[in-house]
Amino acid sequence: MEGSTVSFEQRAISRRDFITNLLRLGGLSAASVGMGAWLKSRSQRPQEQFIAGRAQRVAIPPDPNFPEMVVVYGRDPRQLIQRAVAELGGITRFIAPGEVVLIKPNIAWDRTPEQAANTNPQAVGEMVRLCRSAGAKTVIVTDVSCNDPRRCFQRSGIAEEASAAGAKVILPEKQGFKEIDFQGKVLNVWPVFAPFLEATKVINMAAAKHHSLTGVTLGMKNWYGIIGGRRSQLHQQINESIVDLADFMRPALTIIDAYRVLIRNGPTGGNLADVVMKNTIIAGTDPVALDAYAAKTYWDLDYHRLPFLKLAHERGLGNMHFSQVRSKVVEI
Amino acid sequence: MKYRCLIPFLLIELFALSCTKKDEITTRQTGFLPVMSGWQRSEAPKIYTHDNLFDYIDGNCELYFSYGFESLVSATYQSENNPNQTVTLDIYDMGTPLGAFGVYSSQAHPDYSFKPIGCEAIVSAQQIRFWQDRFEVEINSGDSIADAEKLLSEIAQRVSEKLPACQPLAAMNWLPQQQQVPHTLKYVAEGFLGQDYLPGGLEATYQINGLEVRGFVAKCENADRAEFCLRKYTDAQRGFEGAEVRDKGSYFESFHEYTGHVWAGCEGPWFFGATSAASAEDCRKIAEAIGRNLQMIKTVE
Repeated sequence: MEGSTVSFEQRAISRRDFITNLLRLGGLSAASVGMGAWLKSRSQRPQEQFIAGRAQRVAIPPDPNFPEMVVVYGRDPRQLIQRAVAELGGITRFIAPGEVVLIKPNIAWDRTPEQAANTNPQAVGEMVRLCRSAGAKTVIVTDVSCNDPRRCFQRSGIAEEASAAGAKVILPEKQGFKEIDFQGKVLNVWPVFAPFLEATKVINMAAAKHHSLTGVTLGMKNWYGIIGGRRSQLHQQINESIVDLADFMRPALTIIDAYRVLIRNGPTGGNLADVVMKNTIIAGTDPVALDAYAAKTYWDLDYHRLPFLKLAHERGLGNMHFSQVRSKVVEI
Repeated sequence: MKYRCLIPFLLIELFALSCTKKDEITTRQTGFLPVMSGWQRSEAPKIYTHDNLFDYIDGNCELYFSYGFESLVSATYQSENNPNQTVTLDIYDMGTPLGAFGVYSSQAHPDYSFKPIGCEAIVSAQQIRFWQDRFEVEINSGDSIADAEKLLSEIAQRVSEKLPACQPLAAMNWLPQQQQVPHTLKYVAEGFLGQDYLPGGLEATYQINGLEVRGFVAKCENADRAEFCLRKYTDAQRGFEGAEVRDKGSYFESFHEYTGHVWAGCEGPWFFGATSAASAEDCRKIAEAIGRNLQMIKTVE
């Protein structure tokens, strides 16, 4: 419709530039051929021992004595976590002494806690403390950030809170990924950040946010933060890939941080006017019900608008009809 | 078959060409990055294109793609006194001024604070976003910076001075300003009104008798195409079970509990109208005002 009126500086090419470019091109050609040969000699199949990742982790079996979903309202994120875990049966129901526990918050963005683009740092810190109190050998906190990881971990406040609580905070490093065959509906061999494969228990701590592509990002979408590679290739089948990831991860416990909710302009946000204080933690063992509840409560969206809910329900990962699961609402 | 040996060289040539394009973007867009006293760039600016924008903003890249995203230069400034204090400056080249306005307006809300930086800026304690010419600019800081909003405004002003000047956007006048709620004008590039056959269009909220009416307009290739869009949109309304549709030829009015009141018509190449949850009368008034405005624009053109 409207054409650009910008004209940028035109650069004339000199003979010197031409020769330099030609030499550069020649160098590139030689390097590319050499690199190709070297890579071919070093390429290998995905490591079989990691393919068993899903089977190694034991999902927490349902217990009729405890709710499958608990919604806790209150002022202090730490107390919200304590109460939510207590209502679900206590931390020893989920973590045994000597376990390697990985806590996966959303630490994707170079944003402060007030901007609500990442998981609440105090909630993460408290979860670390609880796991340590249950005798976990190691508690790892990590995420594959979108923005510069160092700044995301620092500005979100999560590195500081988690370290202070005794966690091993791991920044994602390029060389730390392992090729995994997800054997999913759309996800096949894909690089996964190795700590996610080595933990005996995984706790998902997602932030409740609007998302411009998927409508919302909650617990299941949070698993996008375990993979590397060219994730944009998954966009055409984003709902299926979300469910493949959720199927693969099977966390012991899912927590949705709705203390501050980024109600629009997610996932990046930035403007404090987009953030609504809900002072809520939603926690439980049915990740599909939790996502369905949060989507309905904060955005009035259900499985008609969020296909991943229905796909996950159909695959047996949980119940999208959240009103059918055992649930409890608590106000502190 | 005998040319098969040339394939590796062609691939290398393509790779080299893509590098050259990235170099051009780097040269062009890094020129917009300001020098700030007391602040230094903590690392070389990063350039993102269609191929790797996902790595930086995750699924949000699809929003930028829909508005014609071409490239992004991202720079981080670090305070010389306190390295923990950083400011991130992102300059998106959206290809056209309409694309820049579109992505800016898609994330705007009338509740925000606005400032006259660039064509318009949204200001908050830790973020400034503005659009100017074909660029959409986002500046973010942490909460540890004293008076961050002032600092961000200064940086935004500096960037604005380096960008091509803000030019009036003709499309922004298609919807009349009278009774329009400020800062509700949006450009929707894809799936306008939820219809995939429509071109990108503009919409805005109007306040009339205390009620909200949403006005909309899209410019088609020609008057015939606008007629076609009107017919298709009429059919779409008929598709709602129990919808009351009164087809008047050059326009139609309808009501359904899901869509509310709808009035839609054509004026030359424009397909336009209004929707309202509460009042058919107000809906018609705003739609007719849009029609008169478009007639005037057509006459001037």
